Amino acid sequence: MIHRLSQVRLIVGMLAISFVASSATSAVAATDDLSLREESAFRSVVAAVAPAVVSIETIGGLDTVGEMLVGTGPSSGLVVSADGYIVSSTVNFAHRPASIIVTMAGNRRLPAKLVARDEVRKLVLLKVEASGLPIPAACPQSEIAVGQWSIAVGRTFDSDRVNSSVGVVSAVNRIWGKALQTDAKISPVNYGGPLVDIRGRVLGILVPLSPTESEDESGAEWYDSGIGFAVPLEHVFAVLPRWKKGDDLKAGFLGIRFKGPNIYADAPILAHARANSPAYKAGLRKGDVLRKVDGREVEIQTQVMEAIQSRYAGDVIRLSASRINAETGKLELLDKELTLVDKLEPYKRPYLGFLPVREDGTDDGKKSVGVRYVFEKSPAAEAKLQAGDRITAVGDIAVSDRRQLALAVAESEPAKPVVLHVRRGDEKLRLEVKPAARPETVPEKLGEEPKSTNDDETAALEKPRKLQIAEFGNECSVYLPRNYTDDVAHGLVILLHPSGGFGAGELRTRLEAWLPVCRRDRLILLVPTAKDDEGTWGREDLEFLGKAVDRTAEEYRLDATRVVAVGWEEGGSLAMRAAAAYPERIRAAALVNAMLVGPLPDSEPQTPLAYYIAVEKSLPEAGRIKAGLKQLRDRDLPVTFRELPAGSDDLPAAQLGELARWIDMLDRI
Amino acid sequence: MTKVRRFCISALAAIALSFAGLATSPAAELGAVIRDVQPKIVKIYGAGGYRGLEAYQSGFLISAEGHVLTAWSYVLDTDYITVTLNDGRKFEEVKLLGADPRLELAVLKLDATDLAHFDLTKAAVAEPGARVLAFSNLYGVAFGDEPASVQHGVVSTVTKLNARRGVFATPYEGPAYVLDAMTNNPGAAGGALVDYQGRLLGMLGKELRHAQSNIWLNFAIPAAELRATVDAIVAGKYVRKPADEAAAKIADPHNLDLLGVSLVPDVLQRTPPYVDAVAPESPAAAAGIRPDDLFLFVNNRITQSCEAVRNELAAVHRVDPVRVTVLRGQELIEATLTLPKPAATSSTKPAAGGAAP
Repeated sequence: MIHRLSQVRLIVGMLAISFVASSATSAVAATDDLSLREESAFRSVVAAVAPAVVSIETIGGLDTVGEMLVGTGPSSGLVVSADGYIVSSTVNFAHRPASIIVTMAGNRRLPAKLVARDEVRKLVLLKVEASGLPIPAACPQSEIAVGQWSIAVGRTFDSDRVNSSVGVVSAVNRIWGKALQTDAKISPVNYGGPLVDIRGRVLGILVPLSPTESEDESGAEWYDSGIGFAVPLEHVFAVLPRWKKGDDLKAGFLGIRFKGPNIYADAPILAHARANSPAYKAGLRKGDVLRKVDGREVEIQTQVMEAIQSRYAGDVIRLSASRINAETGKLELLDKELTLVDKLEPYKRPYLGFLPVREDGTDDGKKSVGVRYVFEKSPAAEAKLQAGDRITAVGDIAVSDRRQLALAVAESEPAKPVVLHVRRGDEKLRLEVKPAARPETVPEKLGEEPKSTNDDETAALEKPRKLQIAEFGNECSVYLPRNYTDDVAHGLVILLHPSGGFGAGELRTRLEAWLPVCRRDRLILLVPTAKDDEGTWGREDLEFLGKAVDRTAEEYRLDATRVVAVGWEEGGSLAMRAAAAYPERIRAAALVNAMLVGPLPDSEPQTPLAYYIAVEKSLPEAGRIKAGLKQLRDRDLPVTFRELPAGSDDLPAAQLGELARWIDMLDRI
Repeated sequence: MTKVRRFCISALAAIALSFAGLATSPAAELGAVIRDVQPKIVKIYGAGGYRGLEAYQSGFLISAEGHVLTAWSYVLDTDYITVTLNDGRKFEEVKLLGADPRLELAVLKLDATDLAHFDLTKAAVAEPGARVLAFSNLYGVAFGDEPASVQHGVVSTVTKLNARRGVFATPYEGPAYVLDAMTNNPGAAGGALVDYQGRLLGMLGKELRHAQSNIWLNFAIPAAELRATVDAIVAGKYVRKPADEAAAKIADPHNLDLLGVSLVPDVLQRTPPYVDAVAPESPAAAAGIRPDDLFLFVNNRITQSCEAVRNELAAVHRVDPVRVTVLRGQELIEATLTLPKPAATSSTKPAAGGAAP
């Protein structure tokens, strides 16, 4: 490397001398010699690095990746070892080509193999059979300064000549510390090529990156915009020994989430340590305050995120945290080494198998939660829990309401029995319940909640009220059951029409079916319509749904555990989106003849989501919908699936009864 | 910044001494170059102005008598071409002397004398890495006597735009300066590319998109490529060549059947061109092509799909040999496929058959 550096200096010197002759005269006047000397320096560093810059072409592969048409033009790469390892950008390989051909400087063509990817920094490592290749020197990251010259080099127009673009370093430590930024023109003509300093040392490998997205092609829309990124070559050299083994370098996760919306200002206080995650296993819990990462003090969330996001799965990170012990009131310090994982095991909700009494407003002063119903053959039944029992504590945690009880069970140690402290009459019992997976069946009959005294089933349907939210143009009707009273918390059912809206008379049929259920089971009914004139649901409608739930909760007494969106066709897909977008507000989605849509939410202790999916069996999409169920189940999201008889565009009466019971058991524990 | 500058200055201090006599303020120097070039740049207005087509472009003077070199485009497709000089003088119903659609250039003539202009015979040549200035009225931002916009950059490379078939949709076949300045903008076409001493290097090209990577290309056509045609137009001796001459189809091209190769079924848009079978005693068999070979290059052009192989073969005369590079395992194998020459007697055979009395 030292040898190469001195070569660069030599070239700089020679070129500088050579234009003494060429620039002596001109039409106007020779421009300042500094700019001419810089120009010759640009050329000499490009010439110096050129032997290590290769052109890469691919054969076969996909036509599109994501929504982007994949480019098929050549791309660039940089030799990083004498024996034929070459680094390039993943954007050139997003289409999974069948074959890769590398053209070295001097037009030698070699077939290449893809050794491994770096999913964090969007790089690929290729290998060709060669020896004695020139390796460029890396500029130490500590020496890279904003404002210094940076020259981007690619080999894409002609394989026998490199192309270059000149700019300055615009920023260092961009994209969570992964890259430096340049205003040289970075585009597919030099992705994968080097960014070089004025001494010919390589600053980094040019890649498209996005601060917010992580797909292979993310950031490519910023080509030639004055914003380009390069992953420091020093980093590449550091990980090369590990990378050469052929394992993809993947993003690493700890499983923590912070409190507060402002990642740039808010302190790193844990809002959540996901069950089974490295953080959870290390003993970190909600409320802990992170103090140090790898010995460096941290004050805001981004400092922690940067440290995590620039690492790979398998890397070890040292975290120091503090917490106030709830019992002693003393400050405790925690200092742990955590190994980042490439995939967080999904949270598995412990299921015990009983329904709590919804005793809001009827608290008898004794801090406990009543048991309304125990599911047959459930872990709770096996542990001999009975309807009428009152639960006072879960393990060490005293519980005085349904929410506390549910959370205490949800956050209990995975795969260990849950200890319930129970009062039965005058008896005090300690029951050990071994959690199981949630069954997806709906029992024929659940234990009764105190039902409405108003049972005038024959009377006319309720008159709707209008729900309007200023910034949204959606029409939305609220059907309050006529026996509504603020004394009882009500569930909420949102009916979402198929594209084009409910047909003539269709809405009435739905209301006639649902309103008696609403009166009986204490549910408020919400019927919004798409803002779009043609009745197509869109992004804004989704936001409207979130707001509409909030508004309903402000005006009426709502039971947050039983908020469910029920949709037909595209309305069903919207219901699924709504539950994913606002799991704290919309706890369940029921889909009738609807396609399953992403993104899928994570199963979290605080938000027990559930899905009811009914599909008419002759529907052409039925197969695809069924195949999608597995993805939900894999995420610990329980699905109750029903195949409807051919020709059904709605749930038959029996199914509606089942759906009502399913809603009634959404608060099961 | 300071660190770099310091390096630069210290590393080159010894050489800088030789320039000591020339040293003046850098900004003043470049300013003088720009002031010298600006009077040679003109703003051109013509057809367009609807459906996203701008009714303006750029040009520059190439004679004291008002010859203006510009890009050939729809803007000039009108009898009412207006040209505004740098000093605000306006010329209406300007005469279009001639145009070459292949080079995408046009020459206009103003009725004027003693105009500042570039001398095409004294145009310079730039190497990759050279610092350049681009003068144009991009986005039509300058009006009246407002000077054209100046952009700076370097020559990224010098390349032939159509070296790869179908990559750039341009009729221009010669070398082009690829720039790292964002000149690919409405109205910039026809502007001047000059070096840091104000010498003409070329004319800014029209907006051009890379067909394979979907990115826009910034380029200029070197002055040397334009000169002969411009001289011919100015002298009134220019004869327009058929624009599609180069693209003329080959009457008897090669095809896979003739060569004895069948590729795997072409099911995707980018099915990799693997050889499925080779006909015995065919040119492919003679050249040693085997099933499972992957076609990489045909006559040195990359073939990324089955379709690309067919397209490349369609551009080669049957009488010419076809050079191919295939991948077998991890080995690159070169081969030349040649059709057997038709036997000399073959043309007489039908006659012989019909000769029986």
